[in-house]
Amino acid sequence: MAKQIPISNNIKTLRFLNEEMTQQDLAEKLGLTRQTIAAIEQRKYSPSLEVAFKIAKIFDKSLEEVFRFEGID
Amino acid sequence: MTLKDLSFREKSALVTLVALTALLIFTLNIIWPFFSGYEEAILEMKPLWGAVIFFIVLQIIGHSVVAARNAKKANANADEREKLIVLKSNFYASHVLGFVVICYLGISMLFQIPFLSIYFVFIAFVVAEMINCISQLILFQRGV
Repeated sequence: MAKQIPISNNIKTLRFLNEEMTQQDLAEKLGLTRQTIAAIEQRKYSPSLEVAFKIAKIFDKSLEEVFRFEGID
Repeated sequence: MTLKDLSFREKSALVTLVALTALLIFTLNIIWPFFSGYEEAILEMKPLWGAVIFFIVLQIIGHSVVAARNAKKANANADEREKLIVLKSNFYASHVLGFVVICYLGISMLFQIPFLSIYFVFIAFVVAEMINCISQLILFQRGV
């Protein structure tokens, strides 16, 4: 069974709203693999803070608008 | 899930796993006469060299094929997720290797066996490397 991290994100929606950017396009901008972008979108991998900030910057959003913590306080 | 869906690193881990499985079968086949009562068979070292060369050849062929089909990705550096997966897998494999070797040393001391069988250590190392590859494949699919 796939493990899910407690941080959700709306990268998929943001990609769609940004000229239907593909996972590969985003991966190339970040210097990651397409599989890593897919893993982040599916909540299988928690990106580093650096990558999280870079993603937010690419979509011109704040970190909170891209990522949301859904774990127990 | 098909081979096409796998990333270069997953294919690489799969090739190594196949080569290690072949190496393990080859090695177990060499030491089988030892368990059948012919103890002198274990002293022969030449077959082990053969097994290692066979493993290296399998690795070269397998990785050449995978790299030829994924030339761009083969030259790219591992990203942070891939590095973390490799690190975690190495952690699991090193624990297995350490545990098995310590158990073997304990048993050898307990039953007064005054030598370390190179075949046993070799098999322990191969199994640890297999666990490394298997955990990489699981972590790539399940998430890390």
